[in-house]
Amino acid sequence: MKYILRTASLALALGAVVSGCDVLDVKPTASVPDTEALNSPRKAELVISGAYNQLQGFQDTAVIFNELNSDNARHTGSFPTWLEIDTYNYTSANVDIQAQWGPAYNLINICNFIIADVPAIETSLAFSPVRRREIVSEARVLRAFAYHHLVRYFGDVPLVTEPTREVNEESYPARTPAADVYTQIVTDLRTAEDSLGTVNKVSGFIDVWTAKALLARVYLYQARYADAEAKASEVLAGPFALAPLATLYEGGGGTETIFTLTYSSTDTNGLSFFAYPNGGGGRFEYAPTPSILAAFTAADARRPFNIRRVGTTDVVGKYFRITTDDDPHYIVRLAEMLLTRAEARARTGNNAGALTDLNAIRTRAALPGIAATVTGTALVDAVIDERRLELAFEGHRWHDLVRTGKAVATLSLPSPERQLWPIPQRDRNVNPNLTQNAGY
Amino acid sequence: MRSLAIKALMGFALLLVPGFAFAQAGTIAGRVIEAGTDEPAIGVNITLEGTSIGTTTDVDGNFRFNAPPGTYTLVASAVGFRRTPQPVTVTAGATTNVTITLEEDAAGLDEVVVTGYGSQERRNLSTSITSVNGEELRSLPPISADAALQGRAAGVTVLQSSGTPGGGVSVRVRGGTSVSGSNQPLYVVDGVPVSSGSFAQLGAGNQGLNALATIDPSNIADIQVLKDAAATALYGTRAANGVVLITTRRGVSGRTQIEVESSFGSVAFQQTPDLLDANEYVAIQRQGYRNQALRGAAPAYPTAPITNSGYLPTDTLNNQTSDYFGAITQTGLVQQYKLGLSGGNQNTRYRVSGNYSDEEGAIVRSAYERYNGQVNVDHRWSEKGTLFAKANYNRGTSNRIGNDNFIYGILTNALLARPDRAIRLADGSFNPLAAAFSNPVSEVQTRFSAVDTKFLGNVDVGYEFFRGVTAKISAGLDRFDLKEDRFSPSFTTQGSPNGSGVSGTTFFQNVILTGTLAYRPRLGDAHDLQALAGISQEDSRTETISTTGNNFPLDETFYLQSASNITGGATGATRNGLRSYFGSTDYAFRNKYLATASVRIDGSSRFGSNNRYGIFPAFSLGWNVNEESFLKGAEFLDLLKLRGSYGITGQQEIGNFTRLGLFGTGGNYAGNPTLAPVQLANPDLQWEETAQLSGGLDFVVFTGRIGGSVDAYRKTTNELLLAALVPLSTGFGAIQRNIGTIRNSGLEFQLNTRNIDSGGFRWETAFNVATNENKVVKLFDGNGDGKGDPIDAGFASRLEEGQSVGAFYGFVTDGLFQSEAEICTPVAGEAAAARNARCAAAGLAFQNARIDAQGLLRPDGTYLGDRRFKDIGRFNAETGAQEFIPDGIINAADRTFIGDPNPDFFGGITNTFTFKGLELSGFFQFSVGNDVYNNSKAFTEQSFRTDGNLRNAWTPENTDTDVARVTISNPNTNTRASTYLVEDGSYIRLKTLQLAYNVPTRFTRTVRAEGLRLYLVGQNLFTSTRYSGLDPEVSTFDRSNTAFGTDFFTFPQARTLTFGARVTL
Repeated sequence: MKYILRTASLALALGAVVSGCDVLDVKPTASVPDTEALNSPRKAELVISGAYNQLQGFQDTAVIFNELNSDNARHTGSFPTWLEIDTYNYTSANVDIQAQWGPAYNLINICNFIIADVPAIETSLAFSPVRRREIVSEARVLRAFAYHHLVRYFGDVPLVTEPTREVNEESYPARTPAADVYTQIVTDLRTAEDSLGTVNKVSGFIDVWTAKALLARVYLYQARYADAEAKASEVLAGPFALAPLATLYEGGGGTETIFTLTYSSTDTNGLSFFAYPNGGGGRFEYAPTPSILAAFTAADARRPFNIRRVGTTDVVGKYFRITTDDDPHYIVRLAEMLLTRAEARARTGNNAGALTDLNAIRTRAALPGIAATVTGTALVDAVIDERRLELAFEGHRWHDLVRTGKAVATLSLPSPERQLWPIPQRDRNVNPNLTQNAGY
Repeated sequence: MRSLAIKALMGFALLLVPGFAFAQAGTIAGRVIEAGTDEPAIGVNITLEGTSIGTTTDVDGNFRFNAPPGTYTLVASAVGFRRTPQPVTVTAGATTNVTITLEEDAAGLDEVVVTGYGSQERRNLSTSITSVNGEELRSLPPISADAALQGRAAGVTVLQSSGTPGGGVSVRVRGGTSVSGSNQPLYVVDGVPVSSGSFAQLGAGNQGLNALATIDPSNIADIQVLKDAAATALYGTRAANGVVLITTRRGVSGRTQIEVESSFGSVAFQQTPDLLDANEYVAIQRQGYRNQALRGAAPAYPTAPITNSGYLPTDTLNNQTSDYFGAITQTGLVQQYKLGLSGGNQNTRYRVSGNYSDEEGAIVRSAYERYNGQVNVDHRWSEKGTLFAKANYNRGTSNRIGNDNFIYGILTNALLARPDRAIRLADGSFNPLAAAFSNPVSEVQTRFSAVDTKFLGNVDVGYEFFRGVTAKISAGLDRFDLKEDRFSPSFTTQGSPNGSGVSGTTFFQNVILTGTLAYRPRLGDAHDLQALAGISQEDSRTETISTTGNNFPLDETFYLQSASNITGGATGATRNGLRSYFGSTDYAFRNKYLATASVRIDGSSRFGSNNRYGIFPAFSLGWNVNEESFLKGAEFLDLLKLRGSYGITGQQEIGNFTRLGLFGTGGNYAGNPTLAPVQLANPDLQWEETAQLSGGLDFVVFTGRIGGSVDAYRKTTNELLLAALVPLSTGFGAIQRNIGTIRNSGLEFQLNTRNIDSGGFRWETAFNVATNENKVVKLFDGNGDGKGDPIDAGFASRLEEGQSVGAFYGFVTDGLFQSEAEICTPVAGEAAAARNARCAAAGLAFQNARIDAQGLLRPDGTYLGDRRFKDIGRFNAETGAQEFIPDGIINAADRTFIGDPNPDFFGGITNTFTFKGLELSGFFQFSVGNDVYNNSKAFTEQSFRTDGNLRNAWTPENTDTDVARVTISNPNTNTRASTYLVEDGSYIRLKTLQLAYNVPTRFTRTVRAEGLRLYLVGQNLFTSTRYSGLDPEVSTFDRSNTAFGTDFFTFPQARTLTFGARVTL
């Protein structure tokens, strides 16, 4: 009897230890299963915020690399991969080039999820059909922006328009010709333009004006000058005006803002951190070139906003909020529309119209206007030179030089093929359908 | 449910109570003395064979305990003595008196070895276990328990990542088995698995902390390193990297013994870096600008000094050199105080200890301070019931130093700082421009602390239900709070302008419940059988809090409550659980034929729904050849044993939620929370599985004068958890899948000899050496070309099939360019393909040469004095695969394997000389054939140009050198990963030298002390190496599995000298 009791108690105790079923059933507390991610209005709002957040993730370096690639900025720090970008010595193994490829596709994937799944979320009083359409349209504009980023740096790129729910054969796409990628970009922007209504949103969010302005930009890259002029004119007729330089650069952009990524002290970017010297709280990875220091004349009212002196060092001064690291990042603003229209007009023979737009920018910069005697190619060149200064350090110069065929000569590129970045070897290793750009 | 389990366990403990019922018992009493001296033998284990009844002897060698009437074999056993059985008969109500004489066990074969959930005499072990006696560790300067293993166990690689106190230690038993999980062994202290690793939230470069730094080596009785699968498989899914069993010191019954020890000493670096002085530095910068200046039509390299004021160094000190290294280093004070009390009676023994150590580091402000208190109680509550209770409290405060790959790093900046700039300005404030990224002398004033408060405790209750059957229930708790704070004062770059702070707290808790049934019947002299069955459950939780803020009113008010701007705060929690069933049997026939078999079944919350439980079986066989009749004549042979084992173990450090497809939170846009895809699901996720085949031979000859063992093993790890890369165009990087294979095979050799033992003089040598060949067998094949895709890690480390884990990958250097004819020069407007073909035909390869308008080479591209790399490969135009065919351009296809951080062999040798009370022992530790990737050199020679090597840089006048020309912008990327940065890191180091004097008892007794030991200990006294950096024993990526042997401004090991005394009362 005693033995039975002992045996029974032992069996009971050991059984009890293992019957506790919860130690193997543990759920995460910082994430949700992918199958439940886009099933409510609240989650639709969270995921579109996630898309903007993803854009923030790579736009600061996208801007800096553009300037390093151009004649605006030189590499002054210690990152070897940045040095490669500055000296056109990049290989397909450059991890920072890869970091402009992968995060853009992350953004595209988020947008693909929204475009695919949000239309199926039921509307309600709190979640109107307008809001639902708006979220999808914002995703389309973000997707178009991401593809424009990719197509300008890499040329032909895989065109993915469906979300990745699992990895299958379709996860290994070949590159789509750049022209077709542009077609998709235009389709997305025009679809969004048609369904975004006319509300002018606060600066940190995409609205119909963002879609129109990006269309104007894309048309210029496509050399569709008439379309570019028309679309830029629509924006210029909208609720915007050139702002005083101090408001533009130190006051958040004012009336000139079309779409600006906003930051805060808890949501920071590296624009000023990488620009400021070591003694001034930054890491001094990039700095203005002697060439742009010379191009900004003393009379140019924009110079003090673009070039600041810290100690004895001239630094990129457009991003100066070094203590909070929350400099706004101008994705598209009105000055670009004026210069876009000026270029489109100059290229289509409307010299007078072009001069009006160009000189509006020069006047604000306290510079004398370009004389009416300047026409044709010289006028186009004057617009491109003005773009360099007006949009300095905002991520335009390299693309403008490549777009206008000036990159090889202006930058003494080691070969013309360096106008495109290499397709990251990492993706070529896993995707046999992915070809490399010439020259790598 | 879990609380129910605990209740049930407590209920079980209560149910044991009726078992108390004392039958009418008899008493056994006696005394144990040492043969030869007749001194009392203290702390000897006395047991009745085949039962759990027994006790230990007190300080006078006496023992007394009760037992049911019957005939038994009384066994006396103690470390260092032969196991002595003798028959005894217990009569109800009577006392049986016994006197036992213990003989010295010179061969160590009767020593009882803890084997995890059980124990076995060394003679009958058929598995591979290496023991380290705690006595060896007792007088060392304060170090962690894992660091103490360095060089003492064959096949165990121990690497201190950095010379900062309290820093990370990497331990590998028979090579690393994992890429993404852990390669560190499982540590089990007094039967309780304990957390190891870093747990740090705040980085110091890549360096972390060490959770095991809280275990005080002076509390350790012994350490067993379980190496083969038969020894470890009982720990199932955590055993693939070996198991380290630590047993802490227990009490000795009888009169209270008091042990007081104190030591103090100093610590300092013995290395000094070779840097340029101020004048040399300025000259070298000028040389750099000169070398890169556009030449126009003029001859290359103008001879006139360049005075480009926009770029040239300013505010120089004029002939005065700032010594940053000197300003951040110090001679630190090391002190330790220890108190131990031990005593008890025949039923209860205790040991209480308290230790305090305060170790300043060789870097200003770095320190590690530790308080440790421990109580161990062994109690016998009936003749059949035992209880062990342990409580250990530890508080370790580490003053950390930001360093390594960190722009505010102390050594980083001290080595890169411009020597021509003053550390402080005229007004006494720190010169903000004094260094590469930040002023190390101000940055070292950062308050950077980590306080680890740890409780480790367990209660084990055992009861012998039936004769030979013992049930044991154990509840253990491993709990710590790690609080980290970093405050950068206003005068530091990091804290500019008004101070910035961050605070992180990590709470960790693991509750371990284990129940076992052990069976050891008496089967006569021929058979010895042990069987064990058990269940166990663990519930591990980690919670974190972190807060950041800046804009402090004053540097003295450095807690975040004073910050006017709280910039961030987060809390988080994660959890994992493990449920296990296990069993084992050990059998020995006539002490001649030995066999063990074991199995463990582990279920883990980390495994995917399709693979919840893993099964881990193992067995071993042993043959004590010397017991055979045909060797009975070989009197000199104490032991000759052959053994072999095979088993399967696992590795479950695969992440808590890796199996799930997830949308993650934590982002923020314009103040709105976010949700975004972060992970693809894998319901098949499982443990990494290691199959190990191991064989060995043990021998002891000439009455223990020479003993040793040879082991060979082969460990194959399958189901390696790897990132199965997917194209980034999917929006994801990878799926975590069990796909890879790594193989480790090696040989271990251990030899202990007593070379001289006469006239009171004794010379003993302990030597161990091991090789481990590590090979990546299979990786994820993403492109379907039949070959796994390589994985890059660190600065230059790469995993590729057929190579060792961590092998260095990069370009092969081919001297420096000495003439323009050696440079592939582009032609204006020429396409790259045409240029490459033209150059390849001429045997040249394009690097980054550029031409000016006149078609002349530009010195701001590849130019004379730049490093020339070998053109060895190209990418196949169709597939993108690398082919070893030159193609006229230096690109990623020209990289190959250029070094291996894994040593060819490694080990240690200890020589101990004793004469009367004098002891001298020297412990050397060595590693041969390991390469080091010296990434620091890339920065000191090129990016910041402070290295003394630059005195020998290439110039048109100094062409016979391997130091490239000085440039400012490094247009040729001379610093890319290449053979130039890979160096031989072989070394031998006098790790410990100890001189001790045990004052004879006849003197100490005059002051009523039982013993007095005085000692001098030196650590890291001497290192012999050809490595050009500060220390070849470095790992800038701390415990990284894949990127080790890399030096990147890592603090070297410091030299410690201490003097101490231990008094026994």
